[in-house]
Amino acid sequence: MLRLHPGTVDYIIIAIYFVVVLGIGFVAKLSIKTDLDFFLSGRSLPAWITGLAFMAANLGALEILGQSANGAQYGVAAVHYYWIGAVPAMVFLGLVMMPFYYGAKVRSVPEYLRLRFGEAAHIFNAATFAIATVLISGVNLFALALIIHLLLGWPVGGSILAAAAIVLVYITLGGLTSAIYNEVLQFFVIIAALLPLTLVALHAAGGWSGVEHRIKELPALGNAGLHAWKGLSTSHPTNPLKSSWIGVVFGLGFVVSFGYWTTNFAEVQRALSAKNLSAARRTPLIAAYPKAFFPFIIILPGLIAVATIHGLGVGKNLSLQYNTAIPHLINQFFPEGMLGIAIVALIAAFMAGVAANVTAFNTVVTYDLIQPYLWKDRDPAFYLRWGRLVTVAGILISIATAFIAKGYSNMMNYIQTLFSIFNVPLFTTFIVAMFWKRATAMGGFLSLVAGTATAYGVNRLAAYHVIFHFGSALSASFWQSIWAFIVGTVVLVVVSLVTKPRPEEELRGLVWGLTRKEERTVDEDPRDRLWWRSPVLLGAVVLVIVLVLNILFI
Amino acid sequence: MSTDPKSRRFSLRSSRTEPMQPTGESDEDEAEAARAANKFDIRRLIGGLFCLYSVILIALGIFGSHHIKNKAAGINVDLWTGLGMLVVGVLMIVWALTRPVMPEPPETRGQGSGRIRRAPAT
Repeated sequence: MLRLHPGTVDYIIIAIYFVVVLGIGFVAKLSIKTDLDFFLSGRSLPAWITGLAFMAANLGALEILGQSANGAQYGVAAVHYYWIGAVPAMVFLGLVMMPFYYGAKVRSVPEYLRLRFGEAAHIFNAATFAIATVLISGVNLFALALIIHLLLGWPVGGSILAAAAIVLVYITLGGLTSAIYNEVLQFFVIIAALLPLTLVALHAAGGWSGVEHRIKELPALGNAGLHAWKGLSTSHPTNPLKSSWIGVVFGLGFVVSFGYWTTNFAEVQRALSAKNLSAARRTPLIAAYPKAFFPFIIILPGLIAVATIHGLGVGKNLSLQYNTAIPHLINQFFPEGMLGIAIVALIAAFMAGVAANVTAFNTVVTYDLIQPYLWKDRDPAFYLRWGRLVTVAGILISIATAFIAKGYSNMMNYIQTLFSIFNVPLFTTFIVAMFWKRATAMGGFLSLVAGTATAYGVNRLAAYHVIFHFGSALSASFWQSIWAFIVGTVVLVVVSLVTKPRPEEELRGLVWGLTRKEERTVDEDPRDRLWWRSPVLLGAVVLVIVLVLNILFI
Repeated sequence: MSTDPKSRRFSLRSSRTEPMQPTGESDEDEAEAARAANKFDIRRLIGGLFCLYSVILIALGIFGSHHIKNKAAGINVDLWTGLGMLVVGVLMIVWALTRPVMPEPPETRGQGSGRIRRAPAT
């Protein structure tokens, strides 16, 4: 059984972290006067902070363990999750979509749908989003407890409650500011743990050439495991992903990735808390830079683990699952001291995963359900109080769903399923809504419903092997998303053409062709005109970096 | 640009490029708000935590057992990571001090408590 044995110093390091996290909550509370302070940090944060938080909100421990597992299982091809599956969508969000979100002064992603398509689409989206976030936060909570149980031997139930209590305290007190500060802190701690781990493990394995040599010998990966783009032909995919390039480029790269990064409010919320439009646009762009390089400290350790740890991923032994790649390396190489830092990194990442979802949940429930439909026009203190109440409720529901998630064997598949059902249909609706003024309220609403139903239907059919056979669970989630996208788009276009369009006057600022250039690029701070703060330049440079990285690992 | 001190709390404008604007509050309040904002600067938090961790790691790397020093394939990983974190921590604090969130007023104007406050080293 894989078990870490932290020493006294490790526990001191962990205790210090908890003190800091709770301290942030108490101090952040002092700066909160209104609901906007609580939900969007008073729209006051500089771009580098929101950018790192944007990156870190996604960097839960599920991501760390799951992506290193993908590295171990699928080899170099796992980089598609970063270089195709994240960076282009982040650039698109910053350059193209952010002016509509931030420019329209919406406080949440569903609120944009309310302005664009009216109440039906808005309620449907706000409700499904609230359900999805609370389920995902429950999975994170459960995963945190599970990893603590496996690695440290603490009981699962007790760990769930303890972790939930800490998140509850710092979010209820400090709101989004607390969450973002912890995300930025966590970002640095994760690097402090994973960078030395990767370097040490790489050294022990005889450098990159040593890893390459061993991967080639592995029956599960072989030479194909060292290439991102080879063996992705449509007729006979030989890549470990068992997917064709269509699945990778359109499924992962376009539909899944754009759906996740551009419409998931847990991400977009970080950008909405930026201090002005320029900072909001730069938020995902700044996040794209670390994202482009994180495969080197997440996927690479997975590759090293599968190359050096005998029997990883073979057979049914729980402590040799792909998910344990990084814990194995930690166990093997980290002495007292670094072990504490590594445990802090994992715990911090899990708590951030819960916190990101809880902050998105409380905002959407308060601003998109309570304020417009239950109690309108109350004073800020009323909504602030509700925000805190909803936070408590959200965490209690997360705890309940965490105990449900306990019943599922494969968490990553569960999460992928949730994303493709709840996020993908949303992207379809958004992209058409922003670029086609003719799209109508009824079209928007029905396309959301149809897309969600399609994603769910294909998922069920594939799960029971009724009609589809996809090479792997990953490949299945790509295709499920592609179908949801196609059906959602067709429904939106057809319904819009037979229903009455809204007058153009009402859509100003919400649709691309109807927004004047000066409205899109309005700058509040002249210093944001500095050349190195130009969003277009930041976006272009990171795209070039990713292109070069893809060519290097082709 | 907003002149409300709270809304500028997290911004990183330095005193060199953006002199502080009058807020209508008393000097005492302004100074208080500025000090609070600077104390809660995330760069100070990261810097402080990293410096603290680095001291622990470096101590283990120097005074630790043979096992601690050699577990990572012969590399003293506590020592090296500790040194790395120390550099990052110090850089964060230096950055926070040279470009504070809100400049604290350089001197006491009008009646105050009589204490002499100095501007932060820039």
